[in-house]
Amino acid sequence: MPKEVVVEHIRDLTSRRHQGLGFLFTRRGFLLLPVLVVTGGLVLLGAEGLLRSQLELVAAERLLAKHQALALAEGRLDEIVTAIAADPVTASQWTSCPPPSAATLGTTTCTMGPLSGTFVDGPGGVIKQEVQITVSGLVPDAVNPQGRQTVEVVVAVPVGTIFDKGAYGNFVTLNEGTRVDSYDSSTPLAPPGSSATIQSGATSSNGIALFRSQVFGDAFVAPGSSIVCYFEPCVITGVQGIASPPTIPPVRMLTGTPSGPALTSCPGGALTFDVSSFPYSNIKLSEPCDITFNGDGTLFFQTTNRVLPLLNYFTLPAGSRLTVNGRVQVVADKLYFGDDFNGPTVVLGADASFTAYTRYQSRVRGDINNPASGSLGRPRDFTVYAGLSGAPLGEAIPASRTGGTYYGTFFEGSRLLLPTGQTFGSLIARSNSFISNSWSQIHQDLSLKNEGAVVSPTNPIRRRSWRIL
Amino acid sequence: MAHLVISSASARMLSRRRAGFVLSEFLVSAALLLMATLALLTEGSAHLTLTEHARNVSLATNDAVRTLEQLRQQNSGTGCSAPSAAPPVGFATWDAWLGDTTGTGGGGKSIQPDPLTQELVLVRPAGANPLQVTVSVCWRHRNRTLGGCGWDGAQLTDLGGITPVPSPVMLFTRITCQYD
Repeated sequence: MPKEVVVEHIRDLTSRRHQGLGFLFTRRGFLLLPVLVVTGGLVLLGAEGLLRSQLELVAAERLLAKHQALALAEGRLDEIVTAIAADPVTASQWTSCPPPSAATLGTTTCTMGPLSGTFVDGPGGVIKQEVQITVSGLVPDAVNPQGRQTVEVVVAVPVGTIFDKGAYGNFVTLNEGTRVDSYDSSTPLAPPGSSATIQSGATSSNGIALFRSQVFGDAFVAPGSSIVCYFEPCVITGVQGIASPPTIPPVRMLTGTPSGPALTSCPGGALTFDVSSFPYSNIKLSEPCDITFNGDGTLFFQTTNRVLPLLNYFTLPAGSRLTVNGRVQVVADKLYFGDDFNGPTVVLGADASFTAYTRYQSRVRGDINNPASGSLGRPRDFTVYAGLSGAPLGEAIPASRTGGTYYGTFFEGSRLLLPTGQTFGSLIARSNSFISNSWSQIHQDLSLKNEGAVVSPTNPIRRRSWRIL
Repeated sequence: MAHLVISSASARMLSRRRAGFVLSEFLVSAALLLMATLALLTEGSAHLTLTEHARNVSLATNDAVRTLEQLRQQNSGTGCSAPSAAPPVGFATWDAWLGDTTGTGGGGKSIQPDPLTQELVLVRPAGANPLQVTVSVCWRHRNRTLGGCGWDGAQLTDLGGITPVPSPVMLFTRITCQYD
C-alpha cells in the first residue's frame, strides 16, 4: 500500500469522532456492508414468514386429512354394520370384512372377527354375538397417507332369542286344566292360535308329562325321551317330535354398586324417581305404594357383601302400582312382586321396558304389563331373568294363583319355574323343571320368535364400545 | 516526515476518486434495499394470504366436522328407522342450521369477516342404507370463491346438481342408524 494512502487512512480514522456516522458515507465499502446485512436480514425475515405460513397451511391440511380419515373409517364401519344387519344370524362367521364400496377422498383397511361366545341380556331375551371391527381410514391413500385414523368398535349383533317357545324346561309338566296356545302381540286382536311350541331337554323318559292338559301346537322332547299323558284327556294338536335341546347362552348380568339406604316407607302413598339418580340401595316396602320410574337407567339392588350376604330386594306389596316410563333395568338379589296370591299392577309407558336380573328367586304376581290396565308394552318389553347365581335356592313364579296376568318373558336359570294364572309371552327354564299350576294358561307370543333374528329399530345392532386407536 | 507529505494535486485526485465511489455505492445500496423491500412486501402479502387460507381451512374443517357430528347424532337412537340427511327440524338447510346461533342451531359459522354470506356448507346425500354423505364447505377469500359454489355478488349460492360439491374442505362418510 502506498505510504500516502496509509497516512490518509490514519488521518481519516483519527478524525471520525468529528464526523459521527458521516464516515459511513465517505468511505468506500462502508455503505454496502450494512446494506447487505440489512438485505440479508430482510431475506431471512421473509423466508421465516414464508416457512411459517407453509407450516400453518400444512398443519391445517393435516387437520383436515385427519378428520377426513376419521369420517372414512366411521363410514366403513357403518357400511359393515349394515352388511351384518342384512344377515345377522351368520355374525359368528364374520371373520373378514365385506368388501368396501367405492369411497372418495381416500381408502380404508379393515379387520373383524367375532368375540368368543354368545350371551343374553336386555329385554326380550335376545341372544347376541359380539363382533370386533377395526377400520383405518387413510387419506389420500394407503401408500402415502397424509391423514390416518383407526377406529375400533365392538358391536353386539342379535342372532336369536331364548324366548322362541311357549314353554321350555328340562322336564315339562302341565298340570290339570293347563292350556298352551299362541297369539301374536303385534296383532293382539287376532284370535288365539294353535302354533305354540313346548319342549323339554331331558334325555331321560317322560320329558313332557301331561295331566288333562291341552297344547294347541307342537311338543318336542329330546332324543331318548317321551311325551306321557298321565290323566286323559290330553291334547296336542300339532307335531309330537324329537328335537335336540336348544343351546341357551349365559345371561350377562350387569354389574354395579348399590348405594344409599333402603326404601322402606312410602309417604303419601306415591313416589316418583328419576332412574338416573335413584337414591336407594333396595326397596323393601310393606305397604302398597305407587312408584313411578322416569328415564333410562339401571338400578343396582344387588349386595356386594359376600361375607355377610344381606340380600337386597326389590319388594312391591300387593295393591301397589309400578309405572315405568323409560328403559329400566334392575339388578337385585331377589324380586318379590306381591304375596302368595295377589300382586301389584305394573304398567309400561310408550317405548318403555323393564328388565330384571336376580341372583336368586323371583316372584312376579299381579297384573303385569297388561294392555287392559293401560300398559303400552308388549311381552318383549317386560323380562325377568331369575336364578342367575346358579344356587339351588327358591323358585320363579310369574303371574298369580288368582287370575293374575303376566304379559312378559320369564327365564329361570337354576330352579323351578312355576307359572300360574295367565301368561302372555314365553317361559323358559334353563336346566330344571317347568311345572304349570293347575288351570294356568300360557299364550305364546309368536312375535318373540322374530325379536332376536331380525335386526330392526327395536332390535338393533348396538355398539358396546368405540375408541380411536 | 518528508516522505509522508502528499502533494495537493494528488490529494484532490484521491478525494474525487473517493467521492465517485461513494455515489455508486449509494446507488447500488439503494437498489438493493429497494429490491429487498419490494420482495419482502410481496412475500408478506403471500404470507398473509397463505396464513388466512390456512386459518380458513381449519375453520371450515371444524364447521364440516360439526355438521357431520350433528348428522350422526340425528341418525342415532331408537327414533331412527332409516338414515336420513335431512337438516335438523326447523331449518331449511344444513347451512342455515350451522349459521344459527340460538339454542337449536349449530352455533354459527366460522369464516370471517362475514360467515353468513361468505361461507356455505353443503350436504349431499346419495344412496339409501348406508347413506353416503359428503359435507363440503365453500368460502370467499380475497374476492375469490373457493369450492364449487356460486357467488351472486352478495352471497355464496348453491349451484345445485353437483354431487358432491368440490371444495378444499370435504368430508365423506357413510351413515346408518346407530344404537348404543
